[in-house]
Amino acid sequence: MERRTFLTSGAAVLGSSLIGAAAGCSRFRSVEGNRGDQAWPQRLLTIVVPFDVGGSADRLSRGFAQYMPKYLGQPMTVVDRAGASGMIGTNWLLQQPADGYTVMMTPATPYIPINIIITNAHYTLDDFTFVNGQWTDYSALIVAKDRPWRTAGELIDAIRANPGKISTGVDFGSVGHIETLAMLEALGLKPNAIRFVTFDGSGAMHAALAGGQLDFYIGQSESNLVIRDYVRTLAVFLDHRVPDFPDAPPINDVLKPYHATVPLIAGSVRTFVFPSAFKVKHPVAYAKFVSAYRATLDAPNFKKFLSDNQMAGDWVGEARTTQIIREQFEVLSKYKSLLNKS
Amino acid sequence: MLDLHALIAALHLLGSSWQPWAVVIPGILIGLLIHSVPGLTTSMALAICLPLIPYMNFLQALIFMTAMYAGSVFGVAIPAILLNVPGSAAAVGTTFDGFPMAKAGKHNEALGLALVASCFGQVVVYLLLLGLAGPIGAFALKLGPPEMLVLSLWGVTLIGTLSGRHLSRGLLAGVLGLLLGTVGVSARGVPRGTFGIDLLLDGIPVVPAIVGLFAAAELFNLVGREYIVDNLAQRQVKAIRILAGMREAFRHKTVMLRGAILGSCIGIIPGGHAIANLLSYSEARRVAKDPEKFGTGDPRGVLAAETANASSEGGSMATLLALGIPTGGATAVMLVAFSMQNITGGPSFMRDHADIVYAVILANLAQVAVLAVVGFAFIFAAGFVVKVRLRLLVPTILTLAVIGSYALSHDIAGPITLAVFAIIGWIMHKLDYPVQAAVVGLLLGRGAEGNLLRTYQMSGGNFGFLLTRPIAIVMFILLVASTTLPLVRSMRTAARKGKLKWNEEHS
Repeated sequence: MERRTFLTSGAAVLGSSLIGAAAGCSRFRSVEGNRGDQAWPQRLLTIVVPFDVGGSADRLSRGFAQYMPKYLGQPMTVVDRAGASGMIGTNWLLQQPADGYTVMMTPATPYIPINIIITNAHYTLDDFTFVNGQWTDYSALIVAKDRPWRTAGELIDAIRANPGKISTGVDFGSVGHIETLAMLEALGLKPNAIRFVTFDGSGAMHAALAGGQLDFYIGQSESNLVIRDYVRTLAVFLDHRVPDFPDAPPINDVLKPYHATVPLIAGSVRTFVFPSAFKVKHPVAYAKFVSAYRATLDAPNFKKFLSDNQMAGDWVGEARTTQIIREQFEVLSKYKSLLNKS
Repeated sequence: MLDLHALIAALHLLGSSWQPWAVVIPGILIGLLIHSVPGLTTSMALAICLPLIPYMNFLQALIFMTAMYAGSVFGVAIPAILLNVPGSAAAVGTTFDGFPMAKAGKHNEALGLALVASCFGQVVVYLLLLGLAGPIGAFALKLGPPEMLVLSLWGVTLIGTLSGRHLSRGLLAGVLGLLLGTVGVSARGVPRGTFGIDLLLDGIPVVPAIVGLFAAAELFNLVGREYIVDNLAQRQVKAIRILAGMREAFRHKTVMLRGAILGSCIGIIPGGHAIANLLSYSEARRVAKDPEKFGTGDPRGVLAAETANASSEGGSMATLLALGIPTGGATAVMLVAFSMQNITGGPSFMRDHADIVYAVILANLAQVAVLAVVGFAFIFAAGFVVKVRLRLLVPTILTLAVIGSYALSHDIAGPITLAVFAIIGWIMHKLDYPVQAAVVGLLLGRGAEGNLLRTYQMSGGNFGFLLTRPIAIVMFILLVASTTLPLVRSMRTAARKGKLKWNEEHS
């Protein structure tokens, strides 16, 4: 009997103190909400990278973790949460409180649109604030070195002359895959005009291309650098030539004699990404992050880090970055139906 | 072949200062420790240490990574021998004779054997790479999807025939593993068996699944025993007996050499290191005069599996060192570490940085010498596990495994996977289906299916394509021969015995 009374009263005390604590917390939080924006950030920031250690987003993030705290006033740490083409890490970002202490660094396009369009992610583009697409890649058409084609035109003629014989490697649903399909469509060819060999990532595909197992490949120029001695670059998916590949014309120049054009899809627009609620609820804190970020981009030692690692740190701003991502989303949605035919 | 100038430059680089070598022992210890915990992998260990790399100079980073690598290659054998739970798939073959030796109280000798085998395998493969990295790398590029597919099938068939008493159950367990391995988005972009769970889009998390399968099948199997070693007199750790094991290894030089060369060759093929140890084990058993001794604690079994394990890890570095193309987890992380020192991958890697390539190889060779000493001390300490009561040891390992699986996935998905596969493993064990076969199948499943698909896609549906792949054909013939011949032989022996018996009974 005595014991029960003790327990009940104990529970009551515990319960009331819990309620009190909860009330205290919420009061404290509202105060912090107003004053907190001025004081933000008050603790460590986590940069989540939705890809594996060693990828471009991871390496870039580690650069920020090293140089940005000076301007932010708080340390930063990098956490890699890879999986499902970035979907696992992106979901995780959205599960964290939108208080700015968790920020994602990712090639926002193509991956976020691809997650939404192809792998049925539960988020939309409106769920994110894209800070600045500072480093953008483009695709290039490459052929294995021992193949006879010297120009992209020769390759196209060979595909037309031998439908269903020439092979390409693709990472399913990637920008390069969609560009390959768009090119075939523009040329009036069916997807089965070439042999699509599907890989789970670019590593094995690069080895296959270098080993002469495949004929050609359209994919990110930058990741192709690893096999540059084994391949020839025949065209770039840009509207101008680039110094890296002086002999490679823009793809739409190549396609002109065939009266065809393809949309130029930006590959890997790397940007910091916040859940959109952060900017809405804490505009001051968001502005503080952006100014620390811009100060880092301008810092000489960070600029050296970027150039040493062959990365870019351009300022295009939130509005333009968001616009690019939305445009890419439209293009990718348009070609989605083609994917299932290849 | 051997670029003497680069070799001298490499020696100069390595000998330029003694201070960077201070990281050798911590590196080897990290490698050993991480790998003696089942489920943690080389690429994970390297990834954890990656943030340290920018704070090291190049030589220090290089020595640190190769040290960790050297330690890790041997680390996997320790739980394989002491607990029957291999630290990675590359040590599955080590359990076949290693654990029976431990149970019989010969854990000291078994660990000594494995240490020598590991060092020997590493020495052989790095000497091969030193002379032939270029040609080996070029050859590796000729191996495409058809060859990788045949290798995976070989692996599953081998483990099916090697593990357990029943061939059909071994093969069935292997196929179960293969099928589980196909869960997730296929290379063709089709999600299978994901039940709408995002986490399964990348497939079943392999590491917690494997830990679950082994933990249930092997650790639960230990429940009811007091100690790993029954005999009190044998339950001791003696340096002299470890040394005796090490000496014993040198009595089987052919076994070790065959294992090391087989491992080097198979290791070149991406994914090969999961298979090399099995192939080497089965070869050693096939050529032995007394194959029935294998599986009962034969030192040759430990040596064959462990030399191949060690040399196959080195083989997987061939494409990285020769061509700058990483083919797997650990080599990819290593390349990242180089890039942090502004040395980028690609074919120019070998051309422009031949001295660094040689330095990596020479550093690995130097690490082997240190490993022999540090490894000896480490197994001396690890050996004390036999003195721990199993009723304390088993729950401790299981708790660590659950925490580890949580650390891997950062969420409850890891522990759930572990628990589900523990149940599957327990059922399989109850019904006498070998879990090792399921584990190897699970590891190879994804790649096998992708490579089957790619072989089909490359062929354009034309069977004539296979005739253009002589290496795949030769491998396939070897696969069939290596798995059916021993069967035919054992059937013949059985038939002869049966006949004798029949004759005896009817004479």
